Amino acid sequence: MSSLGAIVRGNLRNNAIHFALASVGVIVGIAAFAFFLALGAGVRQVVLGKIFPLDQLEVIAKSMTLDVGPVSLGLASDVLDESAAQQLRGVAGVRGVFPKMKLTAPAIGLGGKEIIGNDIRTELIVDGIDPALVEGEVAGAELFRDVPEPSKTPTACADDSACGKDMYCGKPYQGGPGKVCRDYVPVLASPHMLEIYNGSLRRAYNLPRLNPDFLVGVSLEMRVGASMVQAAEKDQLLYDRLKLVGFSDKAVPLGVTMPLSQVARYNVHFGTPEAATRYHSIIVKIEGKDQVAAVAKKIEELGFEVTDGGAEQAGFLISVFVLVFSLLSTIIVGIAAVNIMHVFFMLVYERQREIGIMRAVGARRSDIQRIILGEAASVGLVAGAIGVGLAYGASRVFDYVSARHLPDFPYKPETYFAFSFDLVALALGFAAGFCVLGAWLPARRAARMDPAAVLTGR
Amino acid sequence: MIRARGIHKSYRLAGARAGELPVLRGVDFDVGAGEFTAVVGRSGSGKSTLLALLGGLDTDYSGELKVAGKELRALSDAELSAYRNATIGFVFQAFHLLDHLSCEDNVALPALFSVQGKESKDVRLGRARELMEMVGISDKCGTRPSTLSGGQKQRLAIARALYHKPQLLICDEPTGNLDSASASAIIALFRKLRDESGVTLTIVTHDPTIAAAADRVIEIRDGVVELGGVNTSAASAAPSGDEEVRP
Repeated sequence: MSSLGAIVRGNLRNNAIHFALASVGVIVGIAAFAFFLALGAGVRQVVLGKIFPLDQLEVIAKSMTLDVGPVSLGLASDVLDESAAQQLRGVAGVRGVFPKMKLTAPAIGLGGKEIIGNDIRTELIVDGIDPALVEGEVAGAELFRDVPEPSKTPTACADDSACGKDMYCGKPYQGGPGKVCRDYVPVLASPHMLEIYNGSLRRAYNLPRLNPDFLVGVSLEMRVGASMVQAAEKDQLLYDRLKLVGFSDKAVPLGVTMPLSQVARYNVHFGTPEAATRYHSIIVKIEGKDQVAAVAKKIEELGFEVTDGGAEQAGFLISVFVLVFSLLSTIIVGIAAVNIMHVFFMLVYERQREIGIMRAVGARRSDIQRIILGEAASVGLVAGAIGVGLAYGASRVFDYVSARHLPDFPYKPETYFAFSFDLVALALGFAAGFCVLGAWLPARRAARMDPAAVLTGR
Repeated sequence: MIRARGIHKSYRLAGARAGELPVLRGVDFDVGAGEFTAVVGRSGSGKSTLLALLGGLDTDYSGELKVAGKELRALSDAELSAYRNATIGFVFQAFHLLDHLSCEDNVALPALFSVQGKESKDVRLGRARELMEMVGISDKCGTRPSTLSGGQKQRLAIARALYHKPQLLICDEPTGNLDSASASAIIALFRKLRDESGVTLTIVTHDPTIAAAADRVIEIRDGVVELGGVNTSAASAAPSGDEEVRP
């Protein structure tokens, strides 16, 4: 083939203008194809990677409610226990099971002065997760670990310098006079919360835009049992200081997420000892994204409910979007292939003598066919490469316009596109494939040409 | 080298004149290895058709046609291509050179389809230059065929035909497009080739000078051999066409 390659290269040079004109349609089609595929992949990465992580499911107890006016009354227990976690571990396709617990007492948070200039007092939604759920996934995950039980004989202190590393000098756990050395409670926040703040809230309150890197390490005082709405039934507050150790998609979208053992400690304090093993949901990690639907079905067959995060619908809509535009691009490339066929028929006619000569000096029919198809594949690859280049250029312009001229919105990405190696290979293969397809009949005709008629002028 | 017995060839006509047009009507002749044979006849007598059959460009005939021991009609496309590549060389009246290739690349064109194994570019071009020197146009290396005169183009075409040291050189009116001086030079070149390499030469021509230079003349008239053929009754004594001679 390498020696035939020399002929192909010579013919490409010799007919460069014909091939350039013939490949315009392929370039446009492949540019559109690559652009929309990359856009679909990019948007899918944002939506399914950040907004709806699709490699996990959140399982809750099957709800049975009775609507009475504005209130829905629960008719069955809405908690899960260790036996439920055990059942879920046995489902095929499940990589890991991580219980999740909500704080069942009210809590308020105070702080923020060091960031925005004023302390903010807010009701706090608190979730507890197994630290293993985020292990290796987020920066700072190593700091997200269980907190030791508060000491019954804490060390009195005057300021933070009197306490050890990762400790602070603050109110005793159950309140009271004086200050003692305490452990920070590590918490994770959801990037969703930051997106909502930066995209919307900060404008309403004229607050600065926050950089997630600088928020890590910020602390916040928490009072469990206190509320601006309704305090806990148990007339006692628990005091802790929370330290943000990182951001994670696994964190509760609005609120803070701390190690499960800490939430269990609060829940036992304000409830009963059984509260330590009463989970409000269980995160099930799936082995592969393509197994999500099957695993969800099996879980539902076990009598649990899978929360609908909208991921499937979002994924479906993106797939439809990509499919429609890929189809349009395919039609463009298909029409271009017809043009390629026309050009190759013309070239084969013009090159009858050349083909006859090659046959006379020993070219087989298959050699002639391979030369023509090699030329078509080369035209396709070059046109495909130019098309992908154009698509990439257009994507950069799109990202630039978005960054400069579109207002910020939650999850606004730096780029809307994902040009993977697979995508580029697919686009080049698609371009070469369509060109080869277009040149198939002309190549067949060239291979079957009667060399005697051409060379002897019969 | 060549054994032809009862060769019939017709062309199918389409349209208003639809039907069969017989061109060769039972051609019999033999050509021995190293022989210089001129095939003469009027236009339309079937000379070029016979040449296409000898060259394996057309195998749609009836009768027996053996060249270098091979019955051409029985060969597959791959075998015929290998035969055209290695056993024979073609020289056409219209030269049939590829203008977008250099002169050396034109000469080395058969190497690209070689069945004798791949040669490096250096080897191919070295052999091409050697052949160009042999036919007297070594000063044209690196140029394009379009810059050559008619006689030089034909020398280049002869060099290409000789690339694989063919046993049989088939030429179709090789001096038809040349002035008398160039034609004489080409005829001299053919003689030299025959004398030095022993190649079998079969030349279709109207040129009496070539006919005069040939060892033997075969005249075709209305599709049959009028002169220089064989007496089929004595066919058993004729050459079998099986001789394997290389220049």
